[in-house]
Amino acid sequence: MRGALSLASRLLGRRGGRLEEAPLTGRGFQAILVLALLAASLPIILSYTLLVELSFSSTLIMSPFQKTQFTLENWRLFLEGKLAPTAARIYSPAYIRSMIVNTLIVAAGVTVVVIAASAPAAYALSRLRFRFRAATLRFLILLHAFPGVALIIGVYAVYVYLYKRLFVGGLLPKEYLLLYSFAYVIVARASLEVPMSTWILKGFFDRVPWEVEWAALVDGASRLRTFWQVMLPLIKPGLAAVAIFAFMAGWEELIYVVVFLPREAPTLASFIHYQLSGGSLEASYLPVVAAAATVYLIPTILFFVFTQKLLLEAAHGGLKA
Amino acid sequence: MVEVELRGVWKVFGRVAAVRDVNLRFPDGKFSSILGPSGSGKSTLLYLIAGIYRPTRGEVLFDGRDVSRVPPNERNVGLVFQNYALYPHMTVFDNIAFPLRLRKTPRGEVERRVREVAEMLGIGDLLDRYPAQLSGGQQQRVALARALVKRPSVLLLDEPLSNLDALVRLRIRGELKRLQQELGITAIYVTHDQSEALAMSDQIAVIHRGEIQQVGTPEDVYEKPRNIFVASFIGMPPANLVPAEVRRAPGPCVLLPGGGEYCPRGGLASKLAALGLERVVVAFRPEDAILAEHPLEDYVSMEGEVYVVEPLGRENIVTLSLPGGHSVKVITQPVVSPPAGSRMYINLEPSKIRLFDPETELNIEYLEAPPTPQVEAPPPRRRGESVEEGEE
Repeated sequence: MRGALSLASRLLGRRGGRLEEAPLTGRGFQAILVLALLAASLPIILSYTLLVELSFSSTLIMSPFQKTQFTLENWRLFLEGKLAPTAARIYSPAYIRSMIVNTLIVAAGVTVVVIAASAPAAYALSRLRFRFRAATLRFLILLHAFPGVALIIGVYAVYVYLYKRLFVGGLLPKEYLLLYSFAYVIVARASLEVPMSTWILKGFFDRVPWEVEWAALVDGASRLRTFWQVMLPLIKPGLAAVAIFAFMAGWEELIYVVVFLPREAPTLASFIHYQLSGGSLEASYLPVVAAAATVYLIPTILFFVFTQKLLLEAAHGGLKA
Repeated sequence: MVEVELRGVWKVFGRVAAVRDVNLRFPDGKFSSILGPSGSGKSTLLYLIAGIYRPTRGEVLFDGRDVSRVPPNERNVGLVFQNYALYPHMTVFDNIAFPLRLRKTPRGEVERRVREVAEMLGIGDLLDRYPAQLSGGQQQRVALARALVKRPSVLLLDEPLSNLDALVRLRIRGELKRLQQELGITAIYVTHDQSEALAMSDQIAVIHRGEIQQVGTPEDVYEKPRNIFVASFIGMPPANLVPAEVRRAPGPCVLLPGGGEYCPRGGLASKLAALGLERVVVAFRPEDAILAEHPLEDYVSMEGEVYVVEPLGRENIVTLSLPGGHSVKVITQPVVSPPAGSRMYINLEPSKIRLFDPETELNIEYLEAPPTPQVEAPPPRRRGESVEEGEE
């Protein structure tokens, strides 16, 4: 038995009895891991591939093995605003553009609000000692557990209350109603993201050694400047991660957009929703909707491509732990 | 440059007193060390001086001016951390320039001063790099440059060498001492490494459990430890400690285990007699003992059994066990290598023997001195509370 073991270890070019540890770190293990991850994500990959394929297809694809012809016709129709070749309703290119802009406004707005609220909050929770700090942290997790749909009644009530105060009370002229709706959607949606973002950023702040902050203070920086010029750059990967999540949340938000934004100002998500629901499904030509959905995917992909480097970047050079 | 003084300083974290009633003076333009084991409160003391912590009680004075409530960014101190704490997202140039830019220094002067200090520290060609691209020794120099570029009135160093390789550490140790002398800056150096403290300092303050144990020159601390802690902390290996009985009549004599007898003379004898102790702790340094097969004349001798010999090349460390179970270490010439189990005599020159009170753990020589280990008297400007003076 022992002879066989030592023979095996000699064959594998190893000395000593460390045979059992080897497979876990080897190439073979990595290959298995990659295959497993691919298998797990296959349904997602497949459906996205079908979606993109459909947007370039001359006919409606019903199965992955169906033969189809490549065409740019759907994209032309989409960009010209012709959602259905036979439909009575024709959208203008300007309408399509404004829809994309609306989506961007919501997504970017949510990102800005989430970062602006969660970065200082996370810094305080990580660095300052105050009463109920631990309780606040627990409460944040609890907040995150609430689904946005469950809150919609309360959020709607606040919307109506503010609406009455601002517009019925005559504080603001009616022209600002659209602005109010956008601001409300952004803040309401962002507030759902803030608890988790704060948690994530707190973890990043926790990893920055106290000494770096002290060094800045001793070097003559004020607290605010230390936060801005030293601490924030050091948690860039965390900010990037939180920004991605916030942007995605804003970009793909449907419920709050449908509830609070007027139907005349749709985002890509609510536009696709309107196309697929409310009896317009028959009138819609799905390859064209697929083109719209592909456009809907693009920012997500771009955002990931550009921020991935930041996510992976080691933020801790120059700080020996 | 300034003189830094701590007066009755306490720092309490929750229920733990990290620093207890510290009275210390760091002379202007001198290199002072705070030496202590980890957790002794030495870094806390440094951060109190830097202003990162506020004292719970007591005062921190720069040239007699109370700065206890002055925030760190207004104290003009340079601080070098153990982990360097460089800003990883800035180049070496920007790291060094950071303190100057905060002071709205004109662009040209920033450039000039950064290059000047970088040249002085031999990192002039690294200015475009990022900290992660530098070796530990280079990062250390950048941290030092960042501390020095603002021309601080006091330079604080928190174990700056302990993350470096042994060889680099030796080299930078010499450079640091030289630099401090050339600049004539007040430097306060925190370390747990006694060889660093002994090699570099003009003054050493030994701290343990938040309390100052002894303040003095390296020679003082080494030759005349004020208490058992200092004796057992300093030295490589540290001093041997052996409990012994005292015979009162005719004169007081210490009866050592292993047969030796030590009868002190002069002031020490009268102190020993006056204290009326029945037991004392005898301390002697491993390098002060002479190992021989016979008792030597005019020496105090103890017989012990050789336990183990550790050859270190330049010298051997011989561990012997004494009757009563205590073991002692003796440094010998490399040729002295008695076999384990053999019986040898440990011979001590009487002047090298130190006696400690087992109760108070204080060196009997110091016992008539006031209880606080203040080396220099505080300035005449006296406040309500009394600050006791040392003997030197």
